[in-house]
Amino acid sequence: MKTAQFSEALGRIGDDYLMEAITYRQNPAPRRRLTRALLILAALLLLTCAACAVGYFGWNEDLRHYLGISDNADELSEAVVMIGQSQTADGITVTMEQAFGDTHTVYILATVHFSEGIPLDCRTNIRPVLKNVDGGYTFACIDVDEEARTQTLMINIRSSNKKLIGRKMGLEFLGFRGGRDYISYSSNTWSFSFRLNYRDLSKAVPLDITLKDYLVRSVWISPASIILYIEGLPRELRRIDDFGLIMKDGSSPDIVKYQLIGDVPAGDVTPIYGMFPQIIDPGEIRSITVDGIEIPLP
Amino acid sequence: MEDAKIIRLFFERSQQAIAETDKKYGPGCHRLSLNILHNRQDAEECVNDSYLGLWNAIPPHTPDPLAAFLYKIVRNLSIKRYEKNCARKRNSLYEQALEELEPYLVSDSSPEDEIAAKELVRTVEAFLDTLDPENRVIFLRRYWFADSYGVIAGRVGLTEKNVSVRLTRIRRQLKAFLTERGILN
Repeated sequence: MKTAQFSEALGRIGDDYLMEAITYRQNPAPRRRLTRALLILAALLLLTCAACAVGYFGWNEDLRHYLGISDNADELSEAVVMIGQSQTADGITVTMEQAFGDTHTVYILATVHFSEGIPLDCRTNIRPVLKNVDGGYTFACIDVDEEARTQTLMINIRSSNKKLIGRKMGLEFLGFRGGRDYISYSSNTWSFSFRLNYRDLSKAVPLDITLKDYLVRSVWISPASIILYIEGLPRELRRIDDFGLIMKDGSSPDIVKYQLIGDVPAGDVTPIYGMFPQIIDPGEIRSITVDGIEIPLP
Repeated sequence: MEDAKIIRLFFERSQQAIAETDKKYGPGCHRLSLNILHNRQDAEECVNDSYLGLWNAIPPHTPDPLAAFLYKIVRNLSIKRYEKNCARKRNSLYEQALEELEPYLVSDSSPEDEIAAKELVRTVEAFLDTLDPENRVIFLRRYWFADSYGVIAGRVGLTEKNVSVRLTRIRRQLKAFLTERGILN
């Protein structure tokens, strides 16, 4: 790679990075030293309170269970961001708990607590609306705890050609309707804003392999998703139905094949997106398959 | 003036739009262009060309944020001008910044082996995501804005020596990151 190529790529990074670099001003030195001293003190306090540390960094068990993450998958914890924002109105408390994701995929786990008198089951939905983020999304109630009067919600957002990681995303829950007759119990808006500051654990593998009449340029695989960058797909098609993974143990994980999500790319390279309903270990992949051809990965 | 008002002036095709843009972003644009070109007159011309680019782009575009949109135009035009002048001028801050990066980026792979430019952008962003905000700003101020160590030190509240040490570490991290992803050998 030439330095100029890197510089050109750097020149095309997202606006968020630039705005951070343009607006960033650090506190003057004396205050900085004070901040550092406070940070050291906070770190010492955390070290002396192991229980606090476990509580702060621990997985949300519902999220872990939903994604099929094993108990000892500590390396995946870098792909999690703790949100911990909560708002209450009209007897309904919405809490954004944790988000797990990669560059193009995010799972957000939220809980909703209802006071007595408000019906509680998975039909009583409180629907989210995305802000600042483009992409397809699904929303599901994955659990109801009648004793605690709490619903657990999973919001999954994906985009094959827009970056989600690092974005300050907004979620709004507009009003609440519930019960058999879908009665309005609240017209309040619960608004949340948080940055998706987790780490992308994706691996990129350049391929440049010609199949049929198109070229598989590269593949990006994270524990949550796969993106194939394909050159030469007919503009009217922009999809590949037959692609998958073969793991070292011979198994093939399920892939929800969403294809191209988002804007149609201007160039000839199409990102084909698939999501793993259960998290995988990219280190255990033996090969990918595209249109029946097995391509070993290094 | 707020960006939205400036953009409205562009939409109204008011010359005041350029004046307000220059008032708000002119110093930053001139510094960026001067860092790359190391020539005041060339920088002046590039910034003026960038304002013309902005005038032609709005409408139809409604850039948000305006600053990032404008700075990208300034940087692109300045680099183009720099490349034209390259044979004659070998002493700009931009060139110094690139020279620092070179030992960490050079690879013997052929162009055919290299990933597409778009994917490289994504890789660069993935690397930036691994840095904490302060280091990310230090890296971008040096290699995007071509700021000197002294200017960066003043911005982030560190000494020049600290900035230099941090940049060395970040460049090493960058090399490891790109190697891990098969972009460098």
